[in-house]
Amino acid sequence: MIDAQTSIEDVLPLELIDVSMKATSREEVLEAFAGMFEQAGCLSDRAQFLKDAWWREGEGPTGIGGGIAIPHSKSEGVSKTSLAVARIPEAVEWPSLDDGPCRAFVMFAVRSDDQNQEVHLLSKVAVALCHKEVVETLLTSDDPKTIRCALSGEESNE
Amino acid sequence: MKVVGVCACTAGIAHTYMAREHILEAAKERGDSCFIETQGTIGPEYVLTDEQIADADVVLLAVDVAISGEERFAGKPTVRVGTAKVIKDSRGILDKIQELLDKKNAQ
Repeated sequence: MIDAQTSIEDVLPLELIDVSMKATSREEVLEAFAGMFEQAGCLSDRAQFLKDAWWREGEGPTGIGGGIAIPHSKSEGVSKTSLAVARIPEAVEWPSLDDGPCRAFVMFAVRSDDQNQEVHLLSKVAVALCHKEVVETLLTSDDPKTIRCALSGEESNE
Repeated sequence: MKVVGVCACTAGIAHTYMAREHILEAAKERGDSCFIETQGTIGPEYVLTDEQIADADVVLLAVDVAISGEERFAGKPTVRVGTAKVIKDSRGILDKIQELLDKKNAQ
């Protein structure tokens, strides 16, 4: 199931990166992500996935400042732990640490029973997002491969 | 200042690790010694050693949920904040802790 070298490509296939997502509200962003994950075969129960994503939204801001948000769903509706990335043309209101709107998103879909490599990779992505250059790439690059590379934290010194 | 701490957020996937990263960067900036354990969904990582805890001046718990092993810090000055605060302003929090410690030591 999991080999010793789970890599970013396993959790973030290029089809899960959309630099021109059509969404004009937080609801639409989450719905669009649900659609992407479902299309990629990562969900067993889309409604449950969304329910758990909204639960997390209720627990505290998932906007981390600088126009970026990291919604996540740890859910029994997820069959394959994965990430998806999206950017929308105009920022939308989103509860954030800097109270600003968001226009770039990294969404984590985690199987509720997942305890392994994939989740570890996701945490590496979260850490990569702490760095300005990665955020810059996420906000400006139109190349999915470049975005994926930046998120894999390749420049991080951890 | 010698800091040890634990980070633990609600879902245990992202904020836990981001909080750690921010605290470590702020500590590096300030020249503090700093060791931070995470208790995320995959279990404890970067687990603190007894020595690190014994040496520490202060314990920083950047947590949104209950953590395990809190008894390890008994008797140490402890600061508890949410992960969001730490992600937002780690430097400010460490500066404030320094202020409080200095006041305490001056008494």
